[in-house]
This record gives sequence, C-alpha cells and structure tokens, in this order.
Amino acid sequence: MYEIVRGPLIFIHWVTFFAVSLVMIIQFINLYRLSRTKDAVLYDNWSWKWALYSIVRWLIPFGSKGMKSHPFVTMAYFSLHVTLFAMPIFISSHIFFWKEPTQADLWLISDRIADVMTIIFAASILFIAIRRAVAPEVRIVTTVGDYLLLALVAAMFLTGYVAYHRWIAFGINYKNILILHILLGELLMILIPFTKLGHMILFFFTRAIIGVEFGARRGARTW
Amino acid sequence: MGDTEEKAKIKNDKPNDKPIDPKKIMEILNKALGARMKLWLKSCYHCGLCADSCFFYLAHDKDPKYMPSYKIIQTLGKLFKKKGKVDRVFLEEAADIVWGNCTACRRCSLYCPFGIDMGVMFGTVRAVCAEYDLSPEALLIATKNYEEFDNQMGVTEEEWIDTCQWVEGETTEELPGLTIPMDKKGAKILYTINVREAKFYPQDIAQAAMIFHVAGEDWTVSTKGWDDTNLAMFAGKGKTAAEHVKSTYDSAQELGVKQIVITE
Repeated sequence: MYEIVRGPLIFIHWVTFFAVSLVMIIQFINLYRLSRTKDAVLYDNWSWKWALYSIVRWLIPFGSKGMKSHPFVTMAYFSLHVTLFAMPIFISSHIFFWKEPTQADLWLISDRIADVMTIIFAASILFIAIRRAVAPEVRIVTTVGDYLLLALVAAMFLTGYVAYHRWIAFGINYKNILILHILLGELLMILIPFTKLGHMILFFFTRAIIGVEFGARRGARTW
Repeated sequence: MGDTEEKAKIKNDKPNDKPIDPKKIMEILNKALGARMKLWLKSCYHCGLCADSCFFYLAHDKDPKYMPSYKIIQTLGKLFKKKGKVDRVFLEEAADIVWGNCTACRRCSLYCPFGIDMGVMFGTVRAVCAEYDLSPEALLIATKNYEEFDNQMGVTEEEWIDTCQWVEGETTEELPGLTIPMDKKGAKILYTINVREAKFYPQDIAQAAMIFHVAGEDWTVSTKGWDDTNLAMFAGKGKTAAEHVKSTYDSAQELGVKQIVITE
C-alpha cells in the first residue's frame, strides 16, 4: 500500500499541485492586468495599511462587527477553516508530504488531538449544512453547488478518518478507502481555481480592495 | 404602507420605448466588468451574513427577498447569466429592486466576510435600467437639469450670481467686510453647495460665508460646477454624472484652488 502512495499517487499529487498553482498564477496575472486598465480607481488610493487591517481583522475570531453579531456562525466557520488547514499539513499520517522532499519533521498534531479536531470539524460542517437548509436568509441563496462542495470536503475528512482507523466502511477495505481519500483531496485541489473554493486565495484580494476603498478613501473601517 | 404603493411612488411611468437590446446591455455590463467586479461575482459564498446589515431586510420582518446578496443574484447575476437577453418585464422588476429595495448605502459591504462592494454592483444594474429610462422619475428630471444647467434644479448662472450677491449684501450688515468671492483665481478653497441652498435656503450660504470670513479663509465660489449633488449617479446615468463632476474639477483647476469644500 505504502508503495502505491509513494509511487504514482504522490506523483499525481505534485503534478496536480503545480498545475493548480500555475492556473491560479495565470488567473492572477490576468486579473492584475485587467485591473490596471479597468480598476484605476483602486490604485489611486492604494494603501497597504488599510488593506492589511481589512484582511487581518477578518482573520481574527470576532474581530469584526459582523462576526460579533453571529457568534455561532463565526465559531462554526472558524473551526471548519482551522481544522481544514491544520490537519492536512500537520497530522502524522501526512508526514510523508514534507519528509520525502524536504526531510522536515512537521509532525505537530498528535493522533489524539487529530481525532478531537475531526469531531470539531464534523460538528462545524454539520452546523453549516443545517444552517443552509434551515435559515431562510441562507436557504434562499443556497445552490446545489454549495451543498456539493460541503459534501466533498466532508467526504474527504470521513474517508481520511476511516482510513486512519483502518475500519472497513461500506464494505470497502481500508486500502481502497485510502485511495479514495487521496483522490478526493486531489479533486478538491483541482476545484480551487474554478469554484467557490477559490475564496481561499481571492479572500485576500477582495478584503484588501474593500479595505482600501473604505479606509484609504474615506477613513472608514470595514470590520 | 403597502408594497405596491411604495413602488408606485418611485416608479417612472414614462420609460422610453427603445427596444431591449442584449448587445447594448452587455456593453454596459462589460464596461463595468473589471477585475474587481469579476472577483465580486466569483466570491459570494452564499453565507447570508449580509442579511442583517440591510435595513430593507430588517424593516420587512426579515423577509429573505430583501437581503443584499439575493437582490444582486436576482438582478446583476441574472443579467450576466442570461448574457443580457432579458425582456422589459425583467428590467422593470430589476428597477424595482435596485431603486425600490436598495439605497446603495453599502452597509452590506461591512458585513460581508469577503467585502464584496454591493453598492457598485447595484449601480451597474441601475445603469442598465437607466438605458431604458426605468430610473425613478424625479432622478430623471434632475438628470435633465444637470445636462442643461449643470445643477439638479435648473438654476441659471445669472440666478446663481444674483443669489450670491444678494446674500452678500444681506450678510455684510451683520458682519462688515464680508464678501462672497466669485471665481477668485488662486484662492485656497473652492466652496460648492447643494443647489437647494441657492434655491430655497440662501441663509445656509450666508452662514458658510460667515464662517469663512471669521476664520479668515481665502475662499471662493465658482460660476461653473458649483452644485455638488450628483443625482445623475443615483439615476444610473454615468455619463451625465461624470460630466457634472468634471465641471467642478475643471473650475477648481482653472481657479488654481488647493481644496474643494462641499457643503454639509
């Protein structure tokens, strides 16, 4: 099993990673060039200070007015994002990502903590899905795609959890679950530049833009 | 007040009879489709956090039809999705939304985790509707006045100069030595007003003049571009709006002032 992961799958992984990065770099260059001709107004008042404030305040839990007025939503989204970022990078099962190419030991999260994080993740994604279905103001704008992305992310976590514990789920043995887990991860990575998952990168741009527009131009906060 | 009554008040009964042209609509949309607009269209994650920011939403017992992102999806979203191939009924409904259910106050941008500038997006829909004169009637009348008189109430240049001289005469009695300098080259401040002050509340001009006089400021008013309101912008008439701003800016450059001060 380890051979399949180390061999073709890690190869597929790095190819996907660099292809997706390349696509995103091209997208960024195109957007930047377009902005130079059509969004001149943005650069007239550009200010790194306001751009950074606008980003950082929304990266701190309860750092903005909007977050304070929705404590449960804030907690759910922060738990989801923290676990979603921390686990793929730092858990012991993923150590080979880093160890193979760099010899770096980034094993920071113990397996017990990883289990707790999985539960936190499951609870937050469940909360977000239920909120989508129940709260009228979210339901009215929710599309099938929104549920699909949540389902994909949830499936990636579930398969990872099952594979780690070497359970037999749905009559599929652990090896195939593991391969499914890896392929789901690759699929999600491929989807980043083409779907709403793009907010992973675009968040920083849109926040910087509104920070400059409200802050540098008018001296008003956006948090 | 019922919903239909509210709408009836702002609606323009006399839209033009230009045939709806998807090409023209796409031209307006593409003009607005810069990098920022592309990012905004891509970034909405449908989280619903903008809802609470909107007073239309709150005032209608949290009816989700009034939440900002839904209003955008129903108007701008559909215009882009259908590539401008919409009918007059669609545009009339869009006009109801972007003027009747939104003031473009931009408060939603403060509550959006991604900081999507929905005010600008609503402005784009307004520009599309304005192409067919679906803007509220009062705004269209103001727009015509801007085009003809460069102010929203149709005050002529002579009337404006007369008003300033009259206000100056009245106010000097109270504060000897007070003047309202007209087109004074090299002044530090160009003072612009809301045309309403010239037409209905000249005492506001007098009070501003008194402040400038007592503060010892080097100021002037201009004969051109002196109205700092811009209802053409709210009407979705971008060209007129831009020309009107430019006239103020041109005056400032011609007079060589350092600052433009706008009325309260």
